[in-house]
Amino acid sequence: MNFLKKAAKLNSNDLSNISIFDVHTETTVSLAELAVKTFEREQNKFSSIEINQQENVQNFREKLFELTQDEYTEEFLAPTNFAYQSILKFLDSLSKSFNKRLPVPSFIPDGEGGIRAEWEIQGRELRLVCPAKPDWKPYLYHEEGDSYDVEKDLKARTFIKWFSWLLNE
Amino acid sequence: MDTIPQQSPIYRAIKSNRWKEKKPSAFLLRRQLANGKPEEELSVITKADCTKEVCFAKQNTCFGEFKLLAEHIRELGLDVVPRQLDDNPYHAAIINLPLYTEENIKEAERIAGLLAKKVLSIQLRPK
Repeated sequence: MNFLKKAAKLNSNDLSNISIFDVHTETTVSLAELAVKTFEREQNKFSSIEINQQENVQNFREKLFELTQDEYTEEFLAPTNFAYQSILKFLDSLSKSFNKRLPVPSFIPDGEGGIRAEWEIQGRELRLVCPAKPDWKPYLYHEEGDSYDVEKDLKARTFIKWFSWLLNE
Repeated sequence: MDTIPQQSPIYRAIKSNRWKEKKPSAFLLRRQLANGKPEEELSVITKADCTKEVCFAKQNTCFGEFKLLAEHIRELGLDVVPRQLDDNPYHAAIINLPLYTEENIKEAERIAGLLAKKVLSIQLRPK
């Protein structure tokens, strides 16, 4: 309280003379220095979020691209453009919703032109399924032990919910 | 109709190299066959003595087989029955699976995962 009273009497030129204990660095710094350091810390935080998002998108895309190198036949169809576009849309949305590095899934062709992305971490499974064509709806299947269900409303909040669950957060 | 003994091995073809890593996909029925209808039975064989020559002659994308046991399949409430073909007397089918349709997705995924967990071993395509 005394500090606030004292600070209130000072004009802006005096701010640099006030010393404050910075709990992050455990050092005594001037108010001006603290302001700069706080700004830098926040900026770095946002930068790392951006890096994670970019890395997620890039990691997902690189792994997904490997599917184009696989063997396909008339009996076991290659994924359609619709399936690729659809899964990329969901993975981009997932990356933007989640501000941290995400595990890269196994991408699997379903043989009917669709693509599956599957994650399994410590007994928890997520399967994101993007079918070959718009008539067949994409879905997110989750399973742990005897508990399992499917989500068909694939909004950002659905991904946040189930990836938080997958990562046990 | 002959029944398949409980201890009979059952082989499911691995149609994608990636199925070795993630097996549930191998145990989902197809949503739509050439006739427009959903697949009703999962094609398997009871004897897999594939040689390099047979594999190459068929020119298909088979990377090997998952080996299961008839008894373990039946433990899941399913059955495995003979479905002999002209060119393969060892052809059979896993029946009573939920169709892979919009309303059955949850159960189809569940049973595919349970079948995947019953895989005893993987027999890879001869090189």
